Amino acid sequence: MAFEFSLIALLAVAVAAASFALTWSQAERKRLVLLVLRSAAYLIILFVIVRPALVKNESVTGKTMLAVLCDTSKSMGLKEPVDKTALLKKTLKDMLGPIKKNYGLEFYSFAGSAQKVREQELLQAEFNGEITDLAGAILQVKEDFEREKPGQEAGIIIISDGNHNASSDALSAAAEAGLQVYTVGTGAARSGFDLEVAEATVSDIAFRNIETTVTARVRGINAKGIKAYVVLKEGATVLAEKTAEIGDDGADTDVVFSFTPKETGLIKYSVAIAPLKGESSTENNSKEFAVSVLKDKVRILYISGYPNPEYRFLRQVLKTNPNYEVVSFIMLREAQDLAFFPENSMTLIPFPATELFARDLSGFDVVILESFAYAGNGLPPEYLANLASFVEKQGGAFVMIGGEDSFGRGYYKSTAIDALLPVEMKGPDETFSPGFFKMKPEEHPLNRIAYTKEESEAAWEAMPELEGCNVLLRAKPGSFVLGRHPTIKGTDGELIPIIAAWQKGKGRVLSVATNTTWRWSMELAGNGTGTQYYSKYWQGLFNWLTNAPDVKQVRATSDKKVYLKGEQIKAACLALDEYYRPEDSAVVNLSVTEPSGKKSVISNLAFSGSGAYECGVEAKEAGKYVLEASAFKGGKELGRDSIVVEAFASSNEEKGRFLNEKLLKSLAEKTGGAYINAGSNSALKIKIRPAMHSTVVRSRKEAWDSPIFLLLAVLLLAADWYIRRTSGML
Amino acid sequence: MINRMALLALLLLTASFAAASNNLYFAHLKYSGGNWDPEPFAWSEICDFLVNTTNIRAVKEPVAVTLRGKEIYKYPVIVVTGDSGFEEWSSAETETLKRYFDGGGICIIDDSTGLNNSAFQKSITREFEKVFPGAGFTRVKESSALFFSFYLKPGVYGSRQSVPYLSGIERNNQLAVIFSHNDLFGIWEKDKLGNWFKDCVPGGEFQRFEAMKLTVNIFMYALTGTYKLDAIHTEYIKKKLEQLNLKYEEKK
Repeated sequence: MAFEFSLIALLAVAVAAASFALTWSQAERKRLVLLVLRSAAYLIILFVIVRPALVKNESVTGKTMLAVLCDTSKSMGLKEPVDKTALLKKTLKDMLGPIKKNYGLEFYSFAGSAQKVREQELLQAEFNGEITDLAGAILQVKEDFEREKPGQEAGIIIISDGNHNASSDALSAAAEAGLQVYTVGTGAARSGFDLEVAEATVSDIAFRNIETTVTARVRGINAKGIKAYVVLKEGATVLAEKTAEIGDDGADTDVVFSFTPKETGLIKYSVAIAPLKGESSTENNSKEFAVSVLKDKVRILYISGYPNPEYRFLRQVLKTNPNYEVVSFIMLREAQDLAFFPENSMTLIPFPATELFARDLSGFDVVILESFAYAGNGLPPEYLANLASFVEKQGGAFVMIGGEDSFGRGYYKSTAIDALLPVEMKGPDETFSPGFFKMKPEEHPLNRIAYTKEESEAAWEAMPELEGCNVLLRAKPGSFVLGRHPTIKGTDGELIPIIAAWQKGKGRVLSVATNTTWRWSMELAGNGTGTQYYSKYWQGLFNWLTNAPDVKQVRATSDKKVYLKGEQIKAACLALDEYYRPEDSAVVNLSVTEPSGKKSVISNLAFSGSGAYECGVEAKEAGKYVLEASAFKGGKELGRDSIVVEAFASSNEEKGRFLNEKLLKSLAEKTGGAYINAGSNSALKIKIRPAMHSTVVRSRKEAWDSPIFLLLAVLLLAADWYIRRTSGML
Repeated sequence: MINRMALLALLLLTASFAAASNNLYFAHLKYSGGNWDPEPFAWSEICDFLVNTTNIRAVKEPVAVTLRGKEIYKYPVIVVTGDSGFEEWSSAETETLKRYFDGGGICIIDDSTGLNNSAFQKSITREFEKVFPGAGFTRVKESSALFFSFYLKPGVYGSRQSVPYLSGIERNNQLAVIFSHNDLFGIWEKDKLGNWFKDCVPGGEFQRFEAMKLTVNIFMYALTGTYKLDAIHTEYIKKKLEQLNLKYEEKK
């Protein structure tokens, strides 16, 4: 419309100019012509600048669309008890014929994910999908319709045996899609006598030493009243057993088991029904699942050589963290101390060295020895070797805090602890320097006790003095030093380490060559700055020791811990800068180690906002996948983190011989669609209007976007220039 | 009941530890007015007893600290004694003590009069009301770790038995202030011939021994906090109490 208005206006101006020109003198006419030419040129330029467009609403008609989803998972390729493939092809040829006349059909093949295909391709499809994900397929169709045919009426026809075995909920997905779903059951319903574990429902995550539950859904055919013996197993070990009475055919009976995981990690469990004589299939009598068992609390064993303030202050820091459980022992008296009152008037318990160092060590996450001498406390060398193994092989953490009975003075030289520590020590003649000193902090993320670098440096500047330290020889190569003595030098010519740490095997070790850090708390409070730097520093050290997520700059995650073979692992990585703020301009790569050991790298993960980066990895084979994310900023590595997820072999596909009519009927009923068995001769009745329908489509044409206008403006200006030149007006 | 040989050996021993800030000092608060050091010989005896019967590394030389200046922050345990009323602390002195407790310090108070509602007690109550407004002293429960920190449920005695309980103020789930009303330190003083200065009334020597145990428990608590309330110890303590026909009260 704007285009038309502009042309009329242009024409009107031209006509007016011409009529005036006939009555005027030659000079006046020239001036008028020049005025018209220039005005016309400027109007054209203005027209282009305003960018007018033609907008048109048109009514478009089309057929109602139906997406035909054909299940190409392995279970559809099974020939017994009926040939499902043949049934599927028959459905495509015969049943869809009449529907095609009235509806527009789009074909999809689906197993783990859905792909658009041509009808002919379905007739030659290979049935090798490792998983059946009805939910994922329904949601994908919904997305496609919304994108490609917005506002158009549509529905879904699913041709499948209904053996949905992905972890998603098909009924919820159908409700979310809001489309009518028509299901064509392909296969024979279960017959004969059979028992089945249909499902095992459990949280992906559980906590060590905290009871969790799993609900096993069992059902049977021709088994009403049968008492099934159901067991919960971890590997081959039976954790719990129950008897469940089977109800009507296909009706679910829930069996709830409680169990308490004892180990952390990804633990495999299974629920199984003891096979009974005459069962038509025993393959479906068990269901595997895995649970990621996390630590409930960080368990800390704190052993102190004598009652002292360092113990009381540090224990208080640990006790205020609700995630920590502290078990502590202090040597309140020694064998040579006098017993002024009878023994039974004391509350002392014998030091349980064997229980702690031989039996229960693996139950802890951190062990602290503070001013605790190896000699004189009845520890055989094997116990120290156990402690070293606890760190290096089990991934535990060890802290040695200084004092007059620690390090070399505690007779740890040449023991397993000597090799474990990140520092070199002398023997029993090691010097304990008694003076006051101010620790020199090194530049390290663990030393960042304030929000910014400047604040952190100022906080360290104001840190009070410590008193007394073990004069160690030097920090070992491979360790990192957090703080040094300001004046005493070691054998390597460097200032001796006061706080040093390293990764040792799977675990972490911290060495603190003084036991007066409590002075930080007291004197900081005395200076009116509060005690937060004291507690924050120790808390940071313990976070590092226990590998707590809080101290990781790069954190790898996944949407689930357990997948089925063929499913997509949604991996994500959170990258933070050195002050733990989201890093939005990092380069994040993901290294994937497949169960076979094959490695691949996905470079430059897609940024998804607020320091997060993500990608998908297909679980092509069953087993453990190690996903290691590494993040870089400006060529510098921010950090790396790895997680392990597991993909289960979808043995359910081979087990899916029968038709899951119940699910297919439910899908149809809940969405207002209809169900039909592919073997029947009935027609599938689609309830959605088949008639052509119209949709208003709004189109827009950019009227200004033509080279003619540019050419016209140039010609008008050129004519103006020519007239002026020939008239001597230039 | 008493191991006489041990007592003899104890009398001969005079051990203590060198000055090091992780060892236990008798940091004695010196204040204006009143008598801040009514029992000047008590600590020497307490120190010997602690060193010889426990693993506490106590320093024999007492240290006098004031609320003026920052010296007090070097000592995580301070002791306040007196036998009479004393001058009000200035706001700066009160602030010093507030910060002391903020930092994690513990204060042990002993009323050397051994009397309830003494002038000393009134001064202490007045000053600590300023340090912990609204908190006030409450009775230390029998389930407190203090009564299990070394000896099992010692009696709450001193040279007198005027108040059958200890008073205290808790901070961060542990006692920050422990107040003995019964002249606890008075039981420790001896003359040059080794005779006790004060008689224990009315319980005699039994009362003294219970007070000695209580003294040890108080200093042990000041160094270990609520350590004895950890589950691993409470089961053992319950069993021992059952053997002695005593009841274990769960801390609430």
